[in-house]
Amino acid sequence: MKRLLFVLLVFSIAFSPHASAFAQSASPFFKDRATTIVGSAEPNPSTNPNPSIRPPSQSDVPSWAATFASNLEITNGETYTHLRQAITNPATSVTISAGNYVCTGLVRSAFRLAGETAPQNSLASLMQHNWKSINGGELINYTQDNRLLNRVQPGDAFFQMYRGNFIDGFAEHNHVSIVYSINVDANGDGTIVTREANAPKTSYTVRFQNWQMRSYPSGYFDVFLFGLRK
Amino acid sequence: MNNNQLTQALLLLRKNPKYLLGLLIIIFLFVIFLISVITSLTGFVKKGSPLELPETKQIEIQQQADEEFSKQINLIESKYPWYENLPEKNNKYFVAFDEKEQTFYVSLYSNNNPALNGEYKNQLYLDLEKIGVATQSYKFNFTQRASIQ
Repeated sequence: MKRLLFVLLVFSIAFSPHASAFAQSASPFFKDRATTIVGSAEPNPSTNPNPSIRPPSQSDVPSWAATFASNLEITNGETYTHLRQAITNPATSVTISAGNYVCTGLVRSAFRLAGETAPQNSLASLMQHNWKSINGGELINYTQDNRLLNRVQPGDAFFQMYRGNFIDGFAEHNHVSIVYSINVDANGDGTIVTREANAPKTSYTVRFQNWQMRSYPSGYFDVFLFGLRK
Repeated sequence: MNNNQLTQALLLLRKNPKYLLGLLIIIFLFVIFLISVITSLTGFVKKGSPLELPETKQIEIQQQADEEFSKQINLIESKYPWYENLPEKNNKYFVAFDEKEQTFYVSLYSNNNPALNGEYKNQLYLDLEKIGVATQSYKFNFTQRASIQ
């Protein structure tokens, strides 16, 4: 009788979908081996005396995002997808393997290298949904209140999505990048410079005028959120 | 199965706990099987919050999304080759282009001085033409600012 119950228990755990999801979450995707960069992240740009300008100096996340992006190379002649060599931060003992990465790969990697926590999802809409579950993580909706732009800092995640095209309540087509620097003044004029993966360029400049986003990616996506760090 | 047969089957189960246990096991396995089928068909595995989805499925969906996104970005940049080269913010103006509205949104740091307004606008048009913008083809929306912040 006890043996039967034990077999039953093992059977139910093995067939549980959560067990397979857990096993998969630990494994890197498209992993291959190459040389390794060991050292510090790209140096931060010099600090601007203008207090409204927020350069990437608050943590290493933007710098590691820049290091990651600068080591991406074009695949299929179209997008910067392939990390040509592994990246290691000796301070956090984290190594990111060479290989192909989607947009979320840059966010996950930059946070891991910097020793910070980000949801380890490969689908941007899931990463966005799970952002609040990380310690101290906060998600702000720029589309609902564009003045929230005031709270965005270098290293925050920039989520971009459609209003439609949802799976189970979450946007299927979604994109995420890292805010590398932000320079928006008290009138709401200025720019955010991003770092990207799996895109035609590894950096874009997003322009705001009077708090309104007036450039890429507003012509494509129509809902924008920022994942703030603690 | 009529009522008599059902009653007899229930009595048999009551008299033989092993049969009852066997039936419960079969029901339990069937429920596990059903849950597995439903979750694999719908893709998502809801576990309250956070949501989860198999890693390979996530990458597959995100790869498609990134490809669509890249196509759109390439389309914008081929249509407006100057898009990423717009002038930096300076002490005369800040400019942004809204491709949906085909309009340049401009903040002029002229401190409401009419003479400076004209000068700064001319400078803007000149700078845009330098990077290849056919300024006469687009609308301009100007906002007066006291001075650069």
